Amino acid sequence: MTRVLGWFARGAAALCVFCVLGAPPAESHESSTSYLKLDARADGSLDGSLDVGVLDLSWSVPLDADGDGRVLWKEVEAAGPAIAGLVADKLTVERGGRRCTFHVTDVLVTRHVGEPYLSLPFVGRCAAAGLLGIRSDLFFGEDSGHRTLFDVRTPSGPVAGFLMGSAREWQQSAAPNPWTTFAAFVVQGIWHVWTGYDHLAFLLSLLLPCALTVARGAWRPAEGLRVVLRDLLRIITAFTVAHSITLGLATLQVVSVSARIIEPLIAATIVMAALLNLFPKAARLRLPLAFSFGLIHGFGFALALSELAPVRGQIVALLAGFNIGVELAQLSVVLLVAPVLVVLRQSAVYATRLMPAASVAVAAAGCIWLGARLG
Amino acid sequence: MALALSALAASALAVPATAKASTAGGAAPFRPTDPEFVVAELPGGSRARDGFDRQLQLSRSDPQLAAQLAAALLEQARISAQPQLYGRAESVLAPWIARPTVPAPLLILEANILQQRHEFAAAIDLLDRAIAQDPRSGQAHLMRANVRIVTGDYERARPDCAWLLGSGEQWTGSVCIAQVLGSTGQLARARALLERLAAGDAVGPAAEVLAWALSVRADLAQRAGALPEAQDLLTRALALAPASDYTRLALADVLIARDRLAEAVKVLATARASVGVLLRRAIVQSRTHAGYTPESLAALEERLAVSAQRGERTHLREETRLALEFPGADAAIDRQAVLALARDNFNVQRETEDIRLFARAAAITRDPAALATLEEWLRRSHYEDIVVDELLRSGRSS
Repeated sequence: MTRVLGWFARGAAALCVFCVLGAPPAESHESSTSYLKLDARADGSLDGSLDVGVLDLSWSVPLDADGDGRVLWKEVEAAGPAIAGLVADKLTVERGGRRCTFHVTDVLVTRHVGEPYLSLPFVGRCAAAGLLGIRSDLFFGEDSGHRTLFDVRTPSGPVAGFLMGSAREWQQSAAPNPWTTFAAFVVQGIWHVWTGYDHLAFLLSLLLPCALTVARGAWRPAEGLRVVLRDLLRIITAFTVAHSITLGLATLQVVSVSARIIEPLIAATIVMAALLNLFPKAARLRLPLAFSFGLIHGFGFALALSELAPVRGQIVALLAGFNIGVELAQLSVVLLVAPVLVVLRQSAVYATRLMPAASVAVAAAGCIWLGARLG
Repeated sequence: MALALSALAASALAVPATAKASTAGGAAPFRPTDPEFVVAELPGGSRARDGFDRQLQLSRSDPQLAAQLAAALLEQARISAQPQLYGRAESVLAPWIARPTVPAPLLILEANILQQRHEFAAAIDLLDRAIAQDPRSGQAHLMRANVRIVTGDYERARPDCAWLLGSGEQWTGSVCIAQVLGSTGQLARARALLERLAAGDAVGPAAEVLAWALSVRADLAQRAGALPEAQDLLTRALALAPASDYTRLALADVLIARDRLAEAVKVLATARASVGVLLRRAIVQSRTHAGYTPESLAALEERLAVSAQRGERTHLREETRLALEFPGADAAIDRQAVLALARDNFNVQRETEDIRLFARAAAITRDPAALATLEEWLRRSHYEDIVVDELLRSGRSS
């Protein structure tokens, strides 16, 4: 192995000090770069140009026939077919999975960042429809630093990017389907409620007394199923209408409220709604409170949505999707909890023990969250 | 989940966003009328190119040939100022580096390329492997010490410097340890050590080692405020190693700091138009003619744009300085962006200029967090530089 060292191990004086001193970072503009322009039109016509560095090309195509260290125009012209052949061999354009045909029409001289380049215009045809794909194998195998910067025009708009040795292909991505985005936000809305324990806790504290009515100052099982369902519907509708209002206002930036205020307030509403269940005489307040607390929770949903969608585009669709998700999740909770409540209400302990105990537990949890959010 | 969704929302907008950064246009293409028109000069002639493909193929199965070929390309890159050859050298090394066991010389060559690209952590990793395999490699110890010094990891550079001294590398070992001492609270001692070394060795080392020693002395001198001495040392270093862009830029900077603009112009005139050279030319031009937009600025910005499009961040230092020297229309917004650039750069490399640029950005923004970060780092490392101290004082004063 010592013979290999050569450059390294010729003894003390041969330490490669230039590796330490005087070797500035490899200048990126001098690291080899090709420039690809491409215009693929809706009628299937294709044109563009590939600009390659003369120094890069000189490694692949003999450009200095007389060996004088200079590349003359006549030498470039003589090498024209070889250059065109190299491009045809190494550059692939396809559309809709079908290869486009193209040929280099000319060889011109240009410059990029002060370096000499040859500009190779080309024309051709592609399938009229489909997604565009580019692949280049030019210079990547022999130069790890090579990049092909591309600037592509397609009927759906321009795209710029680069190809490198480890990623020699670019494939146009399908335009995102607005329904996919919408559906993703519906899922997010559902997920936000299901995984957001505070909204679940609040919903629960609203739902717990729904199967009960107040008679002589105490909770009693509600008489018929209709009464139970009507109460459920009124409470849930009040809450939903209220949070939809503030979610909309906050997301459209009509009103803005800081998370530092909203987060503790949400915890406070949980405590208050749960404690209210211990006072049957205050049952009349449940509907207005569901509405006013709903306003506060709407700001909470808006904060969650703003974290998910920092972009302002398509905001109405995202807002609608998210809100529908929230409602669906709420409905699923109601559908799960309501039958249980309907059955449980018949048991004497539900109104006197179980419901108050559950409410106290929810209130206690709310207190802990309140403390954490204020601290 | 939130992340996945914002990615989805962002992808909807990816097309117009990326389309903004359109590929650099370049000059209008033309067809020369004269058959003798010189399209390009081939640095190093065309001979080196002949047979490269064949040698590249052969090197796939022969580690000795791979090392020789890569080393020859790196040497050619240096002497003919063709940094694009680093990419060719790396291609020679690539299949070998991917293997589980790699001969030490190939690891060291690859580490050299990585450090040029500012991939310092990856370079250290390869050098650790090279030293584990060949603990007597002076080259690996020297390079590892250097990468650690450049990244401000002085204490961990110390053992490698000591190893060089212990193995009889008096000059490289001394320069190495002087850099560590000079950045860990013993600036005066470091300067004295290098002065004694220069005075005591009648024969002297190879020109490039001497040039390196002189440029390190100059760096220590200017951090102690001795600008005329730094200028003298760098002038001598440049005479010994005229191809060194690094020394040339350092000398230009000292001349700019001393307001000797005409001399700076001369030093830069013969240099290859690298990003660093273009930046200094622009600075000198703008100081010579107030209110004038230097032509080198456009060339510089084109280069930085191409670099950004290539997905690289190797010019953070120059970008920071460019932004500090030529603030845009909205200086208040620019200042925060400059501070972010300066901080990113400081997190990558910590040579004298990087530390000064961060101090400068922290001082003009009076950003308490940035000032505190820098002060804390100076306190822990005991790094000395009167320019940085002065900038911090001005940043703290109201």
